[in-house]
Amino acid sequence: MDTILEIEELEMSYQTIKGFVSAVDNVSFKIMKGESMGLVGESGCGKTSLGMCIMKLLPENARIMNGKILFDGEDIVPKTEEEMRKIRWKGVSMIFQAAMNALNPVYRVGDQIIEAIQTHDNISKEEAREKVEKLYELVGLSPERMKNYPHEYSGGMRQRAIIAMALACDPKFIIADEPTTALDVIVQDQIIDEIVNLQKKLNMTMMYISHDISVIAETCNKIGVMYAGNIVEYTYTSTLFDNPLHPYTKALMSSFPSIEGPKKELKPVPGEPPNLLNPPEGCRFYPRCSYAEEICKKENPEFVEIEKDHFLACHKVI
Amino acid sequence: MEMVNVEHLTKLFPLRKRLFSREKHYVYAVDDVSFKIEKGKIMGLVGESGCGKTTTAKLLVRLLDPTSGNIYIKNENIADLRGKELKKFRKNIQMIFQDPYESLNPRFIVHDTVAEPLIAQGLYNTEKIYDALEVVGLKPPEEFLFRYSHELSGGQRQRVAIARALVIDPIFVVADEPTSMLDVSIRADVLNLLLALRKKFDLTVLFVTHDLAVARYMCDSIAVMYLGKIVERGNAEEIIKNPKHPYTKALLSAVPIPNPKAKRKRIKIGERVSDAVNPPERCRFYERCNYKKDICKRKYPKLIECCKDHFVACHLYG
Repeated sequence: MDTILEIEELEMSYQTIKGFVSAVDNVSFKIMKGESMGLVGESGCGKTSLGMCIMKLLPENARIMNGKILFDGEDIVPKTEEEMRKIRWKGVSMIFQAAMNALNPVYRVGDQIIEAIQTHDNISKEEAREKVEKLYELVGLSPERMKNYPHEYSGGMRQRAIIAMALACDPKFIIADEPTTALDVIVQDQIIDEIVNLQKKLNMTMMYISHDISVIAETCNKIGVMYAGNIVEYTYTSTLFDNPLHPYTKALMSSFPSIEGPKKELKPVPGEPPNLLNPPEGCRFYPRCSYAEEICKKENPEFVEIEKDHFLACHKVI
Repeated sequence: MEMVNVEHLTKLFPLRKRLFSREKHYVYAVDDVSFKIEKGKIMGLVGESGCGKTTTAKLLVRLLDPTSGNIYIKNENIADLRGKELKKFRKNIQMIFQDPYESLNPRFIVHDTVAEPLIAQGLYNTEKIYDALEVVGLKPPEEFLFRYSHELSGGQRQRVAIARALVIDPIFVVADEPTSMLDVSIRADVLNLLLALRKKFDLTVLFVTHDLAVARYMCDSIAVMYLGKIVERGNAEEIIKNPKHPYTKALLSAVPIPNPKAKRKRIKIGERVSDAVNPPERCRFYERCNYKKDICKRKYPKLIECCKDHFVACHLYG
């Protein structure tokens, strides 16, 4: 299998009045063609920042300090805005988090997608319209709804339209950033089902960002667990659930209630995530870790492959 | 002993469809809802957004006035209490709100927030404030007393909100999605705290949530709401393991399971929700139901006991 995305020692910080906030720190991983990778972690751990790095849709105060983002073998970090525009949407595209805010309320939904297509492909409006009709059918919307405005759509329909828009230019790689957070349980389930089916049908590579490990368990074949800017564990979904190694992964799993199986007591992680303005030295998880030792306070553990395709950053397990 | 007994509780919100229309339209936010909660038990109220969960919660603490129906708390009907009597009764019921970022006054220090209910009832006592903070795990209290809410993390804020609810020794607490704004690892912590406090003070709790897994973890009994009506209620484990109503079944089948090997069977139902404005006599779930019969169109099904302590409102049963 070919690698489609390879990230090497990526470091990204936001400049604030109080100093640099290191949102993504020393992150390295690979995604192969056709895979779906889930990125799970709590809010503020850098999931969305990492996604935005890959799109290079960063705000003014964000700096990529170090590292490479190889997309199809090409490093996109040094690319200019002009060059990035060619990669965005055709190479990498994104399903945004808040469907409510991702659509422009004063334009018809169909026209917004047509606009996106025409910006990237040199085709006539009629051709673009036909393409949008096909996309609408693909995501389970009636093409007649193209002439409606966003407020005339329900939450689930809006999210479907956002998915159609993300697929508009046949991207090779798609980032789904919490596409179901604001939705109700049943609608969320329908959207997840749609995304999984589309990913298989179109043989897309996907990165699915979520805080909900149960959603990731059902949608992705690989999982990266993120904590305070670091990816602490990365492996196949089944391996991770059978044999989680990092203390944070274990803690995260035992803090989720489930409707299946016997009722288990939840074991929360003590403490709170660190302030990234001033992250703890050494392992960023050590203040909350029940296995922490002297070495954890001093040295940041390296992110190494301890078994085939099982990457881990922890002193204790290695 | 029954602590809370709600009988035929109804709340209608008037709606003016056209500017000069005389016709009155009503949104049936809560429609003929009845349930009981035993002393020291937690009842979960689950349902999708807009089904009337929060309205029910607000009615029980009398933040809204019911259109009709009775609310007995410790055998006293509070539905019609007014003025001084109502104020006096308020110390028995307290509410924990959803969003700790909005429910705490940003210009109050923790002391003022927690002292507020005591001052309102004329029971101010510094010791009580210290005890309340300690009980919710904000130790030592001196360290937190003089902080503003922006100096607290999300979990700490919700703890302050819980302390504010408990400082006055209520006998009944209504918790409206108290953890939906919190992060996973902190959520588990707050859920466990609520369970511990329930045990310690023998509290009766109405726990409103949209998350069935959380409801199962927290509650002794569960009531499922759909468009202003309770469609099913009973023992929590029984509802989760042996749901009867088609809506409950669909809702449960849509909950993702944190286990990649568990294959769950999705029950597909329509996305279309009936209108809560002047609903017709038929079953509210009619449009989306896979098992609809002729009778469902003509008559709203009564809530009947299908097995011991398990009530369902569906024509398929009884």
